[in-house]
Amino acid sequence: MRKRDLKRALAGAFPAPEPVRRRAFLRALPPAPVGHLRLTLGQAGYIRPLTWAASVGIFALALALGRLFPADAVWAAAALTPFAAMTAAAESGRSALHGMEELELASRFGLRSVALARMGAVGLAHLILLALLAAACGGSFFRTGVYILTPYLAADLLGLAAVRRLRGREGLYAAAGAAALTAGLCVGLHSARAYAPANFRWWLLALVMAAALTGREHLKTLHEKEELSWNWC
Amino acid sequence: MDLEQLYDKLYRYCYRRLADRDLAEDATQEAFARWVAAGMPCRQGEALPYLYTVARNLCADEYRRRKPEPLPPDLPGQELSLESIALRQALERLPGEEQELLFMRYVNQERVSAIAAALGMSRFAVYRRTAAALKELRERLKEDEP
Repeated sequence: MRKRDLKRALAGAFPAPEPVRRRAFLRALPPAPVGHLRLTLGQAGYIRPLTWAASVGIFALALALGRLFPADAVWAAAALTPFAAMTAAAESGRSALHGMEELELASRFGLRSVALARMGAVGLAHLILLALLAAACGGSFFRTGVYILTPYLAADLLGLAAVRRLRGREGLYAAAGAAALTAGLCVGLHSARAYAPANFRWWLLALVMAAALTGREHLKTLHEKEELSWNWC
Repeated sequence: MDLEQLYDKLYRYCYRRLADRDLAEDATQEAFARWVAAGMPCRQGEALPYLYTVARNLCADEYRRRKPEPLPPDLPGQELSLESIALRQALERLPGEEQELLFMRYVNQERVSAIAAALGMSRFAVYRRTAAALKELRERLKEDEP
């Protein structure tokens, strides 16, 4: 018998009777536990391609403007990052927008875990892009980082608050309005020479306040989704 | 690999060792239960070595309690060819570890890495010993030819 035939013959030489208790047993098994990283990576796959494309597009535009007008690179980047924050805020309200909250509450992973994982995935991606942008803008990485992170966090704060308070499309429009307002404010601040080194301490203060308030808003959003879970139970 | 496939492979493995459907299913389910109780330590695709190790120990315990009868020559509705019966008899005359290697590799069609992890040997050792076992099996089959 040739080697290949022998291997093939071995595969069929040990038939076993059909197991009779398999289906009932496997149905009773608990689902495999999923770690935070796997959950986040899994949920990242469910984020709309448009969200990723918009984020990359906004950062690419900021980079391109920085290349074209090196002197205005920082404030141009600062004026564009609120729109990236808008995509993150819109993603957090996506379940409500499509009327999928109840269905997601009944799924294996609660809406809270899913929302946290998705916000984490988008936030992490934006943080990496912001860091790349800060490095590409030139000058001090820390100072540029503060200038572009502050409007991002401010727009994220306003967008999240809007999506949390207003249901459906209204929330989305309000988040877009908040992003436009923040971007407009950045342009206004540039005109008022707010990016002068003497004012940097005020930027630091604004960043700390925006970070604290955005963190609080994220907690509120997650808490609200937890309340929804309790009501559902 | 889904859980059903994992279950079937483990069950076939236990059935070959215990030659009893109920005992084989008991051992399979016990192995799964221990895997779950341990918090499903490996991802589904990598759980095989863990499950095989537990199942092998359970089958050995059962073997010590009650020496099982040899495998029935065929199953109702699944009649084996003379060639398959000769192959089984030749395989059963090989040393236990070689039988196990050939069964896992060619009957259950496991990856070499999974077999290496389950039997606690290197991938190279699995390749080498599987090739040697296959050669020995062919020789035994040749000896048995009239």
